[in-house]
Amino acid sequence: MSIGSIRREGRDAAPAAPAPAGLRRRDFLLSSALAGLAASLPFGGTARAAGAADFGALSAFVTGRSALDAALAERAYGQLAALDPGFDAKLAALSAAIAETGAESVDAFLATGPAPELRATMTTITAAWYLGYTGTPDPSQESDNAKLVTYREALMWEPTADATPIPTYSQHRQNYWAEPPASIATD
Amino acid sequence: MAQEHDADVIVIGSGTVGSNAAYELAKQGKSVIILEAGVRIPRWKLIESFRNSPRRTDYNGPYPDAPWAHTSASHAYVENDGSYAMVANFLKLVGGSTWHWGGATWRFIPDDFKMKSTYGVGRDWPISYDDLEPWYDKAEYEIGVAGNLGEDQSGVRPGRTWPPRAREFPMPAQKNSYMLDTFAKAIGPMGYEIVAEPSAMMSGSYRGRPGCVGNNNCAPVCPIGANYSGVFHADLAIEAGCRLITDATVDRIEKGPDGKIASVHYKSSDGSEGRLSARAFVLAAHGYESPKLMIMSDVGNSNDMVGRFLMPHLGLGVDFFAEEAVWPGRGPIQQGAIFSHRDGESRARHSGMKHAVNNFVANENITKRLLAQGVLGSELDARIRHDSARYMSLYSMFETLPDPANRVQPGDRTDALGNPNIRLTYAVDDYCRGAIEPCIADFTNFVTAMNGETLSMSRDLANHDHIMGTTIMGDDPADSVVDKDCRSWEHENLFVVGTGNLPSSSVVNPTLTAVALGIRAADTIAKEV
Repeated sequence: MSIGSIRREGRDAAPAAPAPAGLRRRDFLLSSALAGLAASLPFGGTARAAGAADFGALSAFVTGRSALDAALAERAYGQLAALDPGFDAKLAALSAAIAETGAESVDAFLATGPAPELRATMTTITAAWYLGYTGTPDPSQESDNAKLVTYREALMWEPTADATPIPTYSQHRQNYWAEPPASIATD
Repeated sequence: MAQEHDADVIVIGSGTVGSNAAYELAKQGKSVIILEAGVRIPRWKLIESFRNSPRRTDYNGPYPDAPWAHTSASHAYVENDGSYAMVANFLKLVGGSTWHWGGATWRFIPDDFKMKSTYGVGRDWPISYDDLEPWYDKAEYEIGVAGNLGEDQSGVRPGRTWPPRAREFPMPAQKNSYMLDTFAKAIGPMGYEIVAEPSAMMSGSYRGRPGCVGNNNCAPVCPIGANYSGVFHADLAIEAGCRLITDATVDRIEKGPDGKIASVHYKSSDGSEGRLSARAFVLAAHGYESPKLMIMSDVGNSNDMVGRFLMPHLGLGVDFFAEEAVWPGRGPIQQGAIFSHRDGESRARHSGMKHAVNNFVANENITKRLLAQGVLGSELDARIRHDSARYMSLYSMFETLPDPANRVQPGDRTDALGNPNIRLTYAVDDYCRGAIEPCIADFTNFVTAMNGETLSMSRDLANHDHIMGTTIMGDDPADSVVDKDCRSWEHENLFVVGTGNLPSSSVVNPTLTAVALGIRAADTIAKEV
């Protein structure tokens, strides 16, 4: 679905509406927030919660996911906005550019050749969700500006979920490592 | 009249070596008090700390760095004034720094004990490999070591079990990962052999610990305790009757009128202080803290040898993409080693070395790299899978020689208890630098064998978290800190144990050797008190 095809009314109506079966409430909120994304342009000036919801919707588009956890979106958004006072404006610019192209997927949008500053914003968003933190961890220093978004839910684990563990989680039997993953012939 | 004491023996430090010594003493019927600067932290809290920190590659990350019990995480506490910055990660909590280790439990080989007489460099030990073999055996069965018989760990005695051993390992080695087997097949035709790393990551259950199931987080903290840490022996020592006092930083070792050590004085974070007396004392506070405390206390240092001869393991690293998928990250974080340059005549000219293969889940490293390259969209997921499956990294550890100019001493800064910080002075010598090119030649072969694409292959020496030589053992009171039994030359009831005892660094992780020496020292003490 195109971001631009959704109407703003969805966001305001959503909290009172019963959640469809099989859809968690916060996912529903997020997909509703997606509705607000196009209509609320530009980003700047929205309230913090609305900003987070819009950020979540934009994040889902950028990461190619149908929905992302709203609590994590709020956390990531708050941290990224704190790191960069111009973050809202960058989100707004990216949203506007996506809407303008009418791209229905992140790949379609990338194919339109977005400007480097738009790609940079996409990378910032993607990094938060994939790595599960904002900022830059630097263990060579006593402290740094990195803040956790999530460990277990970081998207970087998904592409290898069948092959390697998320460290600390017991997911396989003893000695599983002696054999390659079942996919080895096509890896 | 018999003198009253608080205990037969006081052990300073609850890490692997101190706890093993305390346990041995308790088993032999001695009353023991263990003083630990840090506190006890349950494993689950450490795991939660790890999962909630973005500093996932920081091995100190999940552990406290308290103003009154600093770790190497504090840059103000660990100070360098030499030409090469030495930082060896260490922790302060019950169980010590083996909370965050790879479980490598190698023995030294016989030539490591006679570097001077064999190769004309470094120093000979006051004891031989044969002297220590029974204690290696005891240490291995205490902590649990999984390994293979029939493997040559010297690199120059193919087909033989080397070093020689009186009996089997407590447990068989873990199975190799698919990646390690694939790599072994690729480099075999070039003449390289991979031997199993003797490991405290158990291949099956051992003394109440579960077998490893490959959660790939041996460090900074094993989530299930399949990997050994000193906390197991701290608990065994307590069960055997030892009294453990935590948040107790010893700031003074006090001499009596007879030249023996009479007592130790300690402080706690709440401002309280204590003094405890004993018949004998075991200083097992770490390769930096033990010599620092001796110098602070003006104990055992009239020859000015305490804190000198600091020996790290230095080394290089390489990472590359293998042509085919090998899938690092399945299983424990490290397994095998290559000893193409451990022993033999080249050791007279340059450091011997150990090469080892890392086995970390590569996703974070790979994802950061791809994002830096601007990869986005569905290509990102595809590339994470492709690249994570092919990422390989190896590291080497070079031995270093004992030089009295390389040292640890108290600094001028003070911590919250008023105790001085750690000041390190280290310079790299040509013996060590001489190993760089042979190491790079091996790395180049490894990449070639895997039809690999090199990502980085630096000639900058990195230091590993091993500290040796700082309370050096010897047979001459003029140039060593302790004798062959780990006894202070000056104070007959003071025993200093830990990796600081080692007069040579070898190329392998020193913990098992220190545990063997620590248990041996405890056995000596038990006969005297």
